[in-house]
Amino acid sequence: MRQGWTEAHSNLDQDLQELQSVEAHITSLEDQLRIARARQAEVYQRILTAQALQAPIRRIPNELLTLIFEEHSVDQRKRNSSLIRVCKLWHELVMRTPTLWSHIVLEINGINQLPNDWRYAIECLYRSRPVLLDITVNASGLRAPTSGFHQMEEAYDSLSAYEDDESDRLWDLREESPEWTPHLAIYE
Amino acid sequence: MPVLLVTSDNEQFRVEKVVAQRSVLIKNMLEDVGESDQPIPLPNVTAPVLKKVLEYCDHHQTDPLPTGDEPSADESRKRTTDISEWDQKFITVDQEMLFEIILAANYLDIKPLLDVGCKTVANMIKGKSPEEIRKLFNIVNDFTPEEEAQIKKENEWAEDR
Repeated sequence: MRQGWTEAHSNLDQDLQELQSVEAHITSLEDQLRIARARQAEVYQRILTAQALQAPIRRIPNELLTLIFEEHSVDQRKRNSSLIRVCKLWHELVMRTPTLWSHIVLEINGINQLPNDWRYAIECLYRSRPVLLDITVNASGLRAPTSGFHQMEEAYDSLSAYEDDESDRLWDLREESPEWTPHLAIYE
Repeated sequence: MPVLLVTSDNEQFRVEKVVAQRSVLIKNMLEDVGESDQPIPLPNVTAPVLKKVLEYCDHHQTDPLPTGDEPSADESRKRTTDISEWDQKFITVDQEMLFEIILAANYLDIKPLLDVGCKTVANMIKGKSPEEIRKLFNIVNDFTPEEEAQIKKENEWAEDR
């Protein structure tokens, strides 16, 4: 055996032991950290909930919240899609308030967006019952007639199928479209 | 003839009738009671809020009173989101006071003040994401991840806007 072998061997054993103990220490510290972090998150959540419970807006009754939503009327589509994702109460309020859905503006810039545009229009016609409608359709961005317009007309027909009563809910309709655009049957 | 108003925290405000009558509630009360120097209790309004509301009523005392017979649904379509300069300055208060003013304007039936309050809150919300709105008003996101996914699915029309 070469000289020093035994010494190196016992040093290695020692180091291995020490490594084990250090690793155990790290694991234990990590556990403690995890527990402390979980506690932190829990307390933080409790503080948030307590603050939210005291939030001034909670004193506003639903009918006044609806009034506030109505005042915010620059772009109904953007507004509603934002408001309904705030919390359950706002979701419910927006969904069941017809006046928040009666101002339909469709900027048809391309065929790709059409399915979404019509889903939105149908949603509005459905949710705005029975209040009067304000509709603006701008299709001037479309460059050529396409089969999309048949879909549009079909969609309009299906919209009118949602109307149970005979009364006309149309308050105002503005339409801007290229000359070749077939007029949408429902409004003729 | 001045009118005596008493707040929920028992403070008394002596104001000119023409100012107090900006509140349709008080106006109707005065008409019901007739000429009398009885104090009018306002159990839903505290002194700091009434003080602020009376400041508004005083400034607007010569405005034409709302007639009450406007076709509200149709009128609301033509409403603007403009707030006059004085009103804007008046309503620049902390969130708590803002909501207190809205509640008081609703209770006292002061339509133009209620409008100013609602418009101000609406302007605060405008252009903000749901998360920003929650932060602004301290609202808890109480949707489960499943509900959030469901709402996203139901509202595909809002995509790419």
